Amino acid sequence: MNWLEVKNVSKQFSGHLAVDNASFSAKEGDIICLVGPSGCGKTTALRMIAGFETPTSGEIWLGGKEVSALPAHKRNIGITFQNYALFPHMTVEANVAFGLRMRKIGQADSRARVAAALAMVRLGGLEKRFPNQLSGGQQQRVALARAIVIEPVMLLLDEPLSNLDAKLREEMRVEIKEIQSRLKITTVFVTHDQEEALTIADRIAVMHAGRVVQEDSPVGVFEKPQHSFVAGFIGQSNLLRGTVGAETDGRVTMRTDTGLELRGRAIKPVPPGTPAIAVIRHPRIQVDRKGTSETTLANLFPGRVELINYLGDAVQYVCALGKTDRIIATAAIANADEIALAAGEDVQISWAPGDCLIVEDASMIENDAG
Amino acid sequence: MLFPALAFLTLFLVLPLGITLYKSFLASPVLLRPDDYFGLANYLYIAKTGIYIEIILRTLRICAFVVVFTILLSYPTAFIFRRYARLGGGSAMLILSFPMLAGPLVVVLGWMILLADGGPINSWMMWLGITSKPIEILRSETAIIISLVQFTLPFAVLNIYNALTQIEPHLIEAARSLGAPPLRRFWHITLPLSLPGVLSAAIITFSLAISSFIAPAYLGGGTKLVLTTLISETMLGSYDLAMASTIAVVLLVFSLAVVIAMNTALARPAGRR
Amino acid sequence: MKGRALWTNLGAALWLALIYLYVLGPAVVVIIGSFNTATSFPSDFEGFTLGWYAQLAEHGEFLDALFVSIQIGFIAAFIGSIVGIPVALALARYEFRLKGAITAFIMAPLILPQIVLGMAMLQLLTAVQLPATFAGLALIHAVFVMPYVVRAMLSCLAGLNPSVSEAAASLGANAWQRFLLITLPITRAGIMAGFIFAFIMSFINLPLSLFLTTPTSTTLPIRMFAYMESRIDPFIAAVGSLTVIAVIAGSFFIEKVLKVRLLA
Repeated sequence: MNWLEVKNVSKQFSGHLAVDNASFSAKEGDIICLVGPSGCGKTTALRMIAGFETPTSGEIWLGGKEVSALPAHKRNIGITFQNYALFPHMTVEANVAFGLRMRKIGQADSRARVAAALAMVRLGGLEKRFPNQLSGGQQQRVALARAIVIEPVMLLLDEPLSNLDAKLREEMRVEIKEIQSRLKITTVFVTHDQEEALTIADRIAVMHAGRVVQEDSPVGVFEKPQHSFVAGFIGQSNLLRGTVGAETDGRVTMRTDTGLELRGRAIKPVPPGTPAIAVIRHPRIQVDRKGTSETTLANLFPGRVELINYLGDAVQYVCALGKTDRIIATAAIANADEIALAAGEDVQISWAPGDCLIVEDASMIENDAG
Repeated sequence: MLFPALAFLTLFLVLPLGITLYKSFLASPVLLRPDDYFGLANYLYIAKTGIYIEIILRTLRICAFVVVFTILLSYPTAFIFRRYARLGGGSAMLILSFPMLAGPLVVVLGWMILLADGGPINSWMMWLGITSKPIEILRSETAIIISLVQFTLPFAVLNIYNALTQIEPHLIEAARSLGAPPLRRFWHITLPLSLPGVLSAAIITFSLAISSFIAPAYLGGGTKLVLTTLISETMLGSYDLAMASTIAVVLLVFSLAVVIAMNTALARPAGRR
Repeated sequence: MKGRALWTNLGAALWLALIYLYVLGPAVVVIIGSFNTATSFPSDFEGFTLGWYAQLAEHGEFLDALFVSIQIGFIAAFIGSIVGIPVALALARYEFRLKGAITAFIMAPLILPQIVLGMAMLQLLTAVQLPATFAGLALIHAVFVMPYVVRAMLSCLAGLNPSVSEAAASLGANAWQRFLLITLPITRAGIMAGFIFAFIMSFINLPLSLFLTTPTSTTLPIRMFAYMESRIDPFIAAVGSLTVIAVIAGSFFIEKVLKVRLLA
C-alpha cells in the first residue's frame, strides 16, 4: 500500500508546462528521490505535494486522503528549502519551536522536543544563536530539525545539499539517511545529482521536461534504463547514436551514424531501423595497446589516446574512436605505476556486448563523450 | 494585495486627472464661445498665442539647461564618491540630500537671500572684481536654473553613483591588464557602462525641473512664467478653470513624453550602437 | 607617482568642497539668517539673537498651520502605508504579467507635476460638489506619498528570502499568522521608515496644497508662502530653520537607527 501517490499530475504556468502528467508513489517510510536536470519540473512537483502550488490536473494522495485542495498550512508536512529559509529574526531555538508554537504545544514540552531535535542533528548548544551567525551546514541542520520536530507525516527535502561543498555534502547525505530511517517518515528528496539519488533513495523517479521518464529502484534505474534520457543521465556513460540492425542470438546489432558496427543488448525490444543510442559505462570500456591480444570480442575498434586524467583511485583515458567518435574509459588503479598508456598512443578499444545497452533514442539527451 | 492601491489610485489619481482632461476641452471665458462648447479651442489658442508659446519654450529651455548642468556637475561628484567610497560612505550621501529633505521652500528662501542685490553673491562678485555694480540675478531664468541645479544635484549624484558601483570592477582590471591607461579605461569602459545611470539621472532631473513650482515662482519674478506658475496664475489670478486644465494637460503631456522617450532609450540593451 | 596622487586627492577634495558649498549653502544661509538681529534681508549679519524664534509663539496662524501640516502628514502617511505596504509585498514576492506596468502606475505620482495633482483633486471635489475640504487635502497628499512608502518597503524587502513565508506555512501558520509573526517583524524597520519618510514628504510639500487650502485649514508651507510674498525677514528664516532641523533629525533616524536606505 503506497502512502504517497502522485497520479497524473500536471502543472501549467502561463506559456510553460512545468509538470506533464507525472505519476510516482512511495511506501510508508521510504525515501523517494525526484532527480533530473534544472528545469525538469522536480521542484514544481515537490511544491505541489507541499501545497504551495495547485495542480492544473491530477491527484495527490497522502496517507489515503486526496489533498490537492488542502492548503499548505494544514498538511502537516515537514519541508526544508534549498536556501534553508530560516526566520532571520528568531533564534535557532525559536525557529525550531515555531511549528510547535503553531500547534499550541506548551512551553516545557516544546523546549524538550526542540532540544531532542537539535540533538538528533547534532547541533545541541546553539539554541541562542541567530541564523546569520551560523555556517551553511549548520543552517541546513537547523532547517532539518525544524522540519522533524513537528513529527510530520511526511518530509520534503528540496535540494538540501546543493549549496554545500563536496565533503560536507557527503557527510550530510549519510546523516540524513540515518535520521530518516530512524524516524521512518516517508520522504521525498529532490536533487539534480544522480549520484546522491543512487546513494540515498529507496525509489527513484527520473524526471525530464516535466515528465517522469522512469520510476524504479536505484538498481533498476542504473542497470536497466528504459529511456535514453535515463541512460545518459544516470551514471557515467558513453553514448553513440545510430540505427538498430538485426537481432541474433539475443544480441542486437547497431550501426552508428559514423559507420561502426556494434553488438549489444536491449532491455526493451527495439525494432530494426529504429534510431537508437548505445550506452556503455566508462568503467566497462577496455583500452589496450595496439595488437595486445587476439581477441574475438564483438566490439573491437582501433583508436588513439588523446588525454589522460588522473583520478587518484582510477585513471581516465579520453580516446578517439575510429575516425570521428570520442570515448572515455575509466580503469581502477592501485597506484600511478599502473597507468599503462600514454597520450598519443595507438590503442584498441573494446567492450563486451553485455555491457552495451541499446536504447531507443528519445532524442533529448546529453552526450557527455562529445 | 494590489487591489486597495490600484483602487485608491484609480479613484484619487486617474479620476481627477480624467476630470481635468475633460475640463480642458471646455472653452475658456477668454475665447467667448457658447457655454456648451466642447472641443480643442483652448489648445488651439495656446498654440497660436505668442505668450503661451514663449512660456512653453521657456519651460523646456530651463529644464534642458538644468539637466545638462546637473549631469555635468553630478558625474564627477559621483565618480569621486565612488573612488573614495570607503571614507564616509552613506553619511556623505545623506548630507548631500539635505536640500531635498528640507524642502524647496527653505532652499528657495536661501537663494533669495543669497542672490539678492545686496546679498552675499553680489558682494563677493564685486569684491572679486568680476563686476562693478550689483547684477540683478533674482527674477531671471538664471536664478531659476541655479536653484534647480542645486536642488536636483543630489538625486543625480545618487543615480550615477549607483550605476558606477554596479560596474563590475574586474572589467576595469581586465582593461588594465590589456594595457589601457586610466583615461582610456574611463572612456571605453566606465563611461559607456555608466550611461544608463546617467540617463536615469537625467530623467529624474527633468521630471523634478519641469514639475518645480516654488523656484520659478519666487526666483522668476512675476514675468518669467513657466508652465507650473502659469497654471497657478490662471487658477488663482483669472479663475479660468478650463484654460488652467488645458495648460495642465499640456504640461503633463510634455512631462510624460520626455520621460517615456528617455525610458525607451534606457530600455535598449547596453552595448548596442 | 606619489605627487600625482596628492594632486588628484586635493583636486577631488576641492571639487567636493565646492559642491557641498553649493548644495548646502542656501539651507545654511537660512539657518544663520534666523539669528540675525537685522529686520530684513538682504543685510549683513548684525547681531545674534533668538528673538525671532521667540516671536513664533505670537504668530498664532503659524502654529495653526503647523498643526494642520502635522495632521495631514500623519493621515497621508497612514493611508499611504495601509495601501502601499501590501503593494510592496506583492511586488517583492510575486512575478506576474503586467508587473512592469503596474509598478510604473504605482510610482506615477512621483513624476507627475504636483501642482497638477492638486488641481485635479480640486476638480474632483468640485465635480462631486464638495467644497475644498480637509479630506481632499489629506487624500491627495496620501496619493503623493504612497510611492515613497512602497519604495522604502521594497528596499527593506530586497534582502528577504521568499521561501521564509512558505516555511512558516508548512509549519502550520495561516495567512494572518504569517503576516503577524514573520512578515511584520522582519519588515518593521521598512514600515517605520516608510511612514516617517511619507510624513516628511507631505510636511514640506507646497504645490499639492496650493489650491486646496481654506482659511481654516492651511498647511505650514502655504502659510510661509503667503508670508514670503510680502517680505523676507529673519522670522521666516526661523520658521524655515525649524523645519529643516526637524526633517533632518527624522531622516537621520531612518538612515542610522532604522538602517533603511531611502534614497536608492
